[in-house]
Amino acid sequence: MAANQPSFYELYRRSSIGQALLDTLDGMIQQQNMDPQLAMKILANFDRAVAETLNDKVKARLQFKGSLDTYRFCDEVWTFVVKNVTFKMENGQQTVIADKVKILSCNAKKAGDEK
Amino acid sequence: MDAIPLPSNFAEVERLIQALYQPAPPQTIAQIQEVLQTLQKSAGGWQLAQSLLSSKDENIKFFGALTLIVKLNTESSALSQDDAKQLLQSLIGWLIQFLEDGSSALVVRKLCAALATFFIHFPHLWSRCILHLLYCLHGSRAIPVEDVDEKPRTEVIEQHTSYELASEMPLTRVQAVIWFAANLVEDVGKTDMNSTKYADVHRRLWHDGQDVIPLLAFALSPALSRLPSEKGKTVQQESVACAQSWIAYAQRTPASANIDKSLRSLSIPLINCVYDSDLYDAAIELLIDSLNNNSEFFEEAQLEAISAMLDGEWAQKRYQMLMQGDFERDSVQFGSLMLAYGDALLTRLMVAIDDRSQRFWAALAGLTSAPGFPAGEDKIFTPTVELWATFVETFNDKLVEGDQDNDLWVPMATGHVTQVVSNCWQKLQWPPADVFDSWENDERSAFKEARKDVADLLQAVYALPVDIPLLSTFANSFLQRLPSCSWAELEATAFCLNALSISVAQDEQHDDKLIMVFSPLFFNAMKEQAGAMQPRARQTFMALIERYSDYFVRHPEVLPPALNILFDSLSDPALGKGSAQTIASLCSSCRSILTGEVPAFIAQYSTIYSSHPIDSVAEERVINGIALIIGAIADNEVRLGALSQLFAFARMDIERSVQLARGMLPVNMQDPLHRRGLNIGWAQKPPEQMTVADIAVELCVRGLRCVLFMARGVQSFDDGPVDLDAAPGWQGPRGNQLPVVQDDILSALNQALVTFPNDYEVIKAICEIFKAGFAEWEPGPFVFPPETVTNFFTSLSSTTPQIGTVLKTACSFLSSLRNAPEAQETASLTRLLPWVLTLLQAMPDPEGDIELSQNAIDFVQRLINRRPDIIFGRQPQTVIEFIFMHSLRVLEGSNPLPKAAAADLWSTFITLRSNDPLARLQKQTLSEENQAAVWDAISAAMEHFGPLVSRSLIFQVGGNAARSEVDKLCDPLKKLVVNQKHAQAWLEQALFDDNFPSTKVSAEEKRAFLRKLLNLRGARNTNQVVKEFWLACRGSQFAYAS
Repeated sequence: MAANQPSFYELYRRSSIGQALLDTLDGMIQQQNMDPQLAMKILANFDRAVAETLNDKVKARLQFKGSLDTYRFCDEVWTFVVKNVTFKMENGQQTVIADKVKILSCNAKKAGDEK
Repeated sequence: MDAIPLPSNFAEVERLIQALYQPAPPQTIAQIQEVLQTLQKSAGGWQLAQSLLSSKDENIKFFGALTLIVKLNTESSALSQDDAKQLLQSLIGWLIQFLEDGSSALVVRKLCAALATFFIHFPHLWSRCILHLLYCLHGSRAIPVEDVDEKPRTEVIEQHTSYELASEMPLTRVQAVIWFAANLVEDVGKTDMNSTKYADVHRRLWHDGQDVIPLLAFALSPALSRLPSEKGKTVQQESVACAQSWIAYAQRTPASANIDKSLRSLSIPLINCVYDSDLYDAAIELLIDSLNNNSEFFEEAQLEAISAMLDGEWAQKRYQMLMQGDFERDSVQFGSLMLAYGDALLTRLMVAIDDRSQRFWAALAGLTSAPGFPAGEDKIFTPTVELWATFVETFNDKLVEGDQDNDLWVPMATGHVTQVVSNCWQKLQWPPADVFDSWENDERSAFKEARKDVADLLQAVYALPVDIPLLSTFANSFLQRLPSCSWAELEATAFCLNALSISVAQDEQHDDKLIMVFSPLFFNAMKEQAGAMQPRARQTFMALIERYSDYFVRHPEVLPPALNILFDSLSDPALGKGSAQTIASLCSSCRSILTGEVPAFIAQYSTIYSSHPIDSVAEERVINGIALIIGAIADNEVRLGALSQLFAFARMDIERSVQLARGMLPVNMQDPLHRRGLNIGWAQKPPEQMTVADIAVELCVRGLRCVLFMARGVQSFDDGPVDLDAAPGWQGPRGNQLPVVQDDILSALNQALVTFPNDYEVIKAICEIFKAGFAEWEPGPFVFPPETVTNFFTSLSSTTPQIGTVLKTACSFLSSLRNAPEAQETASLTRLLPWVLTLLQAMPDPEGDIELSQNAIDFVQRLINRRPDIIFGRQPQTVIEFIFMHSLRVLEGSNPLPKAAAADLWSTFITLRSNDPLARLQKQTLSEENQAAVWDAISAAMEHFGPLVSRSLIFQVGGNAARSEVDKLCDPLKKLVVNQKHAQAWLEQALFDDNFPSTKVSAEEKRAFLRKLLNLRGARNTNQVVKEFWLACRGSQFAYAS
C-alpha cells in the first residue's frame, strides 16, 4: 500500500556517511552523470533508510551512568548534557569514560506520522 | 544475438507482445522490451494503445492499457483539453466494454490504473470522478463529464448517490469502481503533497473523491455479505483494503480532520468485518494499522465497539487459541490487535479500575506466558514485552508526577507488572542445546534479543517507586534453587540479577541480598558441578561475578574462590574469553586489595603459559589484570620485581621467536611454548600453509602485545592526584632497579625490531608500548627517556611498513614533551623534524601516502604550536619553503584527511603572531637576539606565504573543495581575516585571479562576499557566508541539499 511519503529527519546527512554521500552526489552532478532531482531523491531515500535501519536493524545496546547537568525540551528536541559519564557496552566488552556528553534526541516517529 | 528490428505493421507488434509474455531467455525479453518501449514512446504511441485495446487477446489488451499509462506519464502535456476529454471518454468506453465482454480482472485492473493516472494529470477535467464513473457504468455508456456536472444536482447527484448507483449495478462493475478508487488514492498518495505541481490533484482528490464513502458503505453493508456468491465476499475484502488506503492517505493529509470525520462513518462496519472469517484478515490489519498509527481516527463509540469485541466471547476463543500455542498468522494478528489497542489507550486504561479494563490488562499480562520459546516459537512474546516496557515507563511517569488521585489503580497496575516479570523469568530460560541448534540463525538472534528486551523491562521495573522486591526475590530464588542444580532456571535468575546490576552493584545497602547470591553454595557449585553445568549457565554465572565486581571490593573474602573458578575456566574454549574478561574486571576493581596475591597470580599464569596456551585475547586480558594489581603495589622495588617476573614470560616469547626466525631452533608443534605462535586450541590442527617464519612473527607479536597490556596495566591510577608542576615521568626518582627493568624491556623491543623490521604488527605493537608511557606523570618501567624514544623513531625509514602509523605515535610523543626541559625537548625535536621531512621528501607526490602525509603535517602543526623556534630558528630557508609548499599542495589536493590537517597547520601558523610567540619563546632559554631572529623569520614566512595560502583557500571555497570540506577550510580563512593586516588585499587578489575556478559569480558578488567576510571578523556566521559563496560558485544545481 502506498501513501504519501512522510518526511524524515535530515540530521544524519551531517554524519560521516551522509557527508560522503553528498560529496559523491556533487561529484556525479559535476560530471553530468546525474541531475539534482535524482540527487534529492537519493538523499530522501538516505534519510529514510538511515532512520529505518537504525530503528529496525540496529540492536546494539549500551548502558551509561553519569550526572545530568542540563536538560531542555525545545521544538520537539530533547537535549541532555551529562557529566562524568561511564558507558558500558554490550557483554561488558568495553567501558568508555567521558567528562561530558551531549545527547540530542528527536521523536523517533517519522515527522509525517505526527498529527 | 541479432537485434530485433522495429515492427513494420500491427500484426508484428502483436506478435512481439505475445513473445514478451512467453518464456524466453532474459536477453531476448530485454530486447523485446526495448523495441516495445521505443514504440510506446513514439508519436504513434497513442494510436497504437487504442489499437491494442481493441484486440481480443488479454495480453495485448493489458499492454495497450500499460501503453496508455506510459503515454500519460510522459506526454500528457502534449494533449489538448479536447484530446484529453476524448481520451477519458475512450478509457471509460473501453472499461464498459471489457466489463461486458468478460475480460480478465488483470486487464480491467490495468485500465482502472490508467484512469487513475488520467486523474493525476487532468484532475480539472474529471470532477467527481468516482460518481462519474459509477454513473457511466450504471448507464453502460461513457457520458461526458459535463453532462453529469451540468445536470441539476437534484436530477443526478442527489437522486443517484454512489450508494444507490452501486446498489443498482452488477457486482463486477462495483468491483471495478472499487479498484479504481483504490488505485486513485494510492497513486495520488505517491505524488509529493508539498509540490505545487500536484497541489490541485490532492485538493480535488478529497473534494471529488468523497463519493468513495457511500460506495464503500454499500460494499461493506450486511446485504452484500449475505449474497450466496463468492463475489460478494471478494468485493468486501477489496473494499476493506480500499478503505485502508483512504484512511492511510487521510492520515497524511494536512486537512485530515475533515477527512477523518467522513471516513469515520465506515469504522463500525469495518470493525464488524473482523467477526467475519472471510474478511477477518483484511479488517484486522486495518484496525491494527489505524490503532498503531492514527488512533485519533476512532471516536468513543468505535473504541467502545473494539473494547466490547476484545471482551466478548469471540475474543475469548481467539485468545485461548493463542494461549494454547496457535501462532498462525490469524492468531498472532489477534494478539497484535490487543497490543495495538492497549498501546493506543495505555494512559487511559492504566488508571481504569473497572472490571473490563482489568480483565484486559490481565489478558495482556497473560500473553507473556503463551507456550513456546520466544521468537522462534512464541511470536507474540517480544511485542508484548515491548508494550509492557511502555506500560512501566508510563506507570513510572504517572507516579513521579504524583498522579495518584485514585490510587486504587496503583496496586492493580503493580500486580500486573509483577505477573509479567514472573512470566518473563519463565520465558527467558534457554531451550535445550539440540532445540536451539535446530533453529535458524534469525530465530536464535531473535531469542537473544527477546532476552535483552526482558533485561530492559526488568531495569525499568526496578526503577518503579512501588513495592516490587525484584532483587530479594531473584537473590532468594537463586539461593533456593542452587541445590537442585536446575541450571536453566538458575541461569534465568542469574540473567535477571545481571540486568539489575547497573542499579544495584555499587550500592552497599543491597549487600544483605547479594550475600545470598555469592554464597559458598554458589562457589562450590561452580567448582564441583562444573562438568554437569550447562556452558550457557556457566557463562552467565561468570558474567554475574563481573557485573557485581563492586560487591567483591566490599567483600574481599569471596574473591579467592571467585578467582580460582575463573582461572580454572581459562582453558575452556567456550569460556576462556569471558573468564579472562571477568578476571581483568575483578583485578581492576579490587587491585588495591589483591596486591598481596601477586605471586599466586603469577604462579597461576606460569602454569597456563607453560602447559596449555590459551587464546591470545584472553591471555592479554589476564596479563592486563595481573599488571593492574602490580601497578597498585606501593613499594617501588616490589612492584618492579613483580613486573620483571611477569615480563619474563613475554621476553621468552620474543627470544624464542627470534631463535625460530634465525633458524637457531627447530619448530616443534607439540611444544606448548611453540604452539603459542599458532594461536589455536590445544586440540586443533595447525594450518598447513603456516611457515616457521609465520609462527615466529606470530609468537613475537603475541609477546609484544603481552608487554603492551602490561604497560597499560601498570599505568598510574586514573583517579590519582596529578601534580601539574611536577617534573615529567622520566625525570622523577628512578631508583636502582628501574633502569635495569627498562633496559630489559628495551632490549626485548630492540630484538623484535631488528629481527622483524618489515612486519607491521611488530612495529605497531612497539609504537603502542611506547605510547602507553607518554601519558604518565610518574617514573615507571614504560616511561622511557625522550632520547630513547627518539632513537626508535629515527631508526625507521620510509620503507618501514605503515610508517604513517609510526608518525602518529611521534605526534603523541611530541605532545607528551609538554613539561620536558628545553634541552631534552630541543634535542628530540631537532632530530625528529628532519626525520619527518625525509619521510615526506621520499614520497613521489604529496598525497602518495595519505596517512604519512596527514600525520607529517599534524606533526609540523604541533611543532609550530609548541616550538616555532625549532622550525624558524634552526632550519634553513629551503626547509621552511618545503614544509609550507607541501602543505599548500595538500590543501589544494583531493584527500580530505591530509587537507584537514593542512587547514589546521595554516590556522596555527596564521595565529602564531597573535598568540604572542615571544612570550612562548621567553620560556625557552633563547637569547634575545635569537628570539628576534625567530620573530623575523615568522613574519617573513607570513609575508611570503600569505598571498599563496589566501589563493589556495579562496580557490577551494570558490568551488574546488568538496561540500564536506568547506567548514574545515573556514577555520584558516577566519584566522586570516582576524590576524593578518594584509588579508583584504591577499583575498581580493585571489578572488580576481584569472584562474579563479568559477565563472558563475560576478565581480560584484565576489566583492560582496569579501565585504561580508571582512565585516564578520571571524565570527561563526562566516561559515554560512562561505557556504553560500561556495554554492554560488558551483551553481544552482548544487542547491539540492540544505
